[in-house]
Amino acid sequence: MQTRRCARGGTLLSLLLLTGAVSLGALTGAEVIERMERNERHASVHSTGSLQISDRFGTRTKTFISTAVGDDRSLLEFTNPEEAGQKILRLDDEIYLYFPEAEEVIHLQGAALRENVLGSDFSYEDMTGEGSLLDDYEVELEGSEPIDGHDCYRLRLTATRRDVVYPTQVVWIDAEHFVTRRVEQFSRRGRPLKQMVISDYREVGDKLVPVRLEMSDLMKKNSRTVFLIDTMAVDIAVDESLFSLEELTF
Amino acid sequence: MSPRRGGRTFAHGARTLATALLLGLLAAAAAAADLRTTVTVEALLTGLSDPHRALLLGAGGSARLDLTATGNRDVRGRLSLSADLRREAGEDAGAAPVVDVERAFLRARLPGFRLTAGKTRLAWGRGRFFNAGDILFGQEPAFAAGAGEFLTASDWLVAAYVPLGRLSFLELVALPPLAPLSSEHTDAGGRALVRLGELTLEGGYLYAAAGAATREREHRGYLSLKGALAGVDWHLSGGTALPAVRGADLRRAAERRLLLTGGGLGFLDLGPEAGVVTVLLEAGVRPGRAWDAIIPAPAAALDHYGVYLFPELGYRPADAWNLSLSGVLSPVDGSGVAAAGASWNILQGLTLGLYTAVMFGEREDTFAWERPGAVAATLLARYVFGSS
Repeated sequence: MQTRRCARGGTLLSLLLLTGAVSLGALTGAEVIERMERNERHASVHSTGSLQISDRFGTRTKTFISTAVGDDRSLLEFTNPEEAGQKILRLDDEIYLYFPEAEEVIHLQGAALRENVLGSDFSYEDMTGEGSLLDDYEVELEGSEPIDGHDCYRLRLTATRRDVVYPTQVVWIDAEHFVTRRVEQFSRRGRPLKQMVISDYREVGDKLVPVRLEMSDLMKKNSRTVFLIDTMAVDIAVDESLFSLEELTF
Repeated sequence: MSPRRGGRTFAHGARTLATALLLGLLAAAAAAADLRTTVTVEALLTGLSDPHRALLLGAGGSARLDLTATGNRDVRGRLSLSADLRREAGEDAGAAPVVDVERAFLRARLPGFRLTAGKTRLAWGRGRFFNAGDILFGQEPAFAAGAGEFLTASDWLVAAYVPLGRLSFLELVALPPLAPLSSEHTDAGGRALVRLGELTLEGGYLYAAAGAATREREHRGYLSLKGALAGVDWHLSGGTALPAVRGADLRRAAERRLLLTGGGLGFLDLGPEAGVVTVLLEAGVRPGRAWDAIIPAPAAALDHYGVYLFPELGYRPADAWNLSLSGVLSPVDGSGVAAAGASWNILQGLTLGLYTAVMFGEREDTFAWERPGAVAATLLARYVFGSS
């Protein structure tokens, strides 16, 4: 599901599909982002996986099936018993939720996109956002740091508009594989909000795909969500009718 | 054989047949691949105020089995059975549980359209509590503290859904009587939903029975508009009904049955640290009804006066917590019911909840402090499990 790049200012859930290598220090910050974004997109992706939401009382698992085409069309269906049949459709800038019990469709927009999905540490915007980071942020290359033994570019992203969800982000991008290793997000006052660590990747075709992301909401104690990809197919043929109200309510 | 005895025999036979059918269905379902099974078990304890006694306590619960076929992308079937074991506080302890077929339908994509047949719900119109577009079921909203949904009526129907692009469609529906089958008593109609830029326009028509105990027919229709303005998701709907009887005073009837509903859903962003509060306000307006509180109102009836309001606030202070504050207000007689609720998804599938409601108003108002159940509290435990 989340191999797509995230919303303006959103988390960097899908800053993660990167190939190629450059020598550390040979690029500017914006070029690192461009290089990453050039490599991260799939024409289409179909995946299954789970969200494992943990707090001090235990772990709750939400499973899903997801299909996405480009940056602006995706359909996600939850398959765990508690939320079975609930769907999230993204079309351009619009998000629609479907609740099978009431046969009801809800259209999300504005601040509602910041609400967490099913009690996870991911917001709707985190999971379904679009647009280039360079449209919303100024990028400063702060230097390099090793993350888990990998040389990484350390980038500071500063929002250029006030309506961006995360005014500041610090991103560590692997200098060899151009995969994101870590993201930290801050409020306008510099308070840490969320932290994401990508700890596992899998080769799919000629790309390196993240399959284990751990998101922590730093505003909450003992709260974290692990995002796991079980199966994934990329650059596959997808029926465009999948991204419609008809499919959402089927 | 006396008629009474014969009736018992017939009833016993019908129950046996229904049980056998149900067991057969469940056995087939258990053996089927590509089947999603969800079981919901709910236990609750309810306390109600009573003018004659201090407090009435009741316990009970419900169970629901939900089976959904998932193997074929173009065909879907669903069976949802429920057994409601709860009794109102103070009700006869020997009251029988209510078993219901909540959903039993198939849905299939055929060339050019989608077919739905069976018992299900079609959500026509807009509105969480008040919805003038809900002409299919004509459901009057009933407020219940802690209810996830308020408009949930379903019926046996056949519907054809014709997609017109990604976000527009046409839907035709017929609701034949189960028995005896009769075109004369079949409700039928359709709706169209189109996107016009940022607006969604929906309109529908239904030729239907004028009431459960009458052979008279009527024409029902509605228009609904939905959009967004300054971060507020709004909807407006208008619906009415005209008798299908020659010589009827159509204007008077239309005015009498006219229902206008509208609402706005907004979000108060308390900042990234505090989260978001959802704010919903809906109104149901019936211009042809009473606008003075001279005539006593039937208890909790929401079609007596000219206007009623439904406000609701929702907040999630933590991932597993939900808090809500909601109610129904009757401005004409100055009465209402206010409810507060908290739910906690403590473990996988397990939710604990506490819901309270308090009525305020005088004896002959829509809601009244002195009425049985004017103060109510429910403690609930719900567990959902199954296979995906």
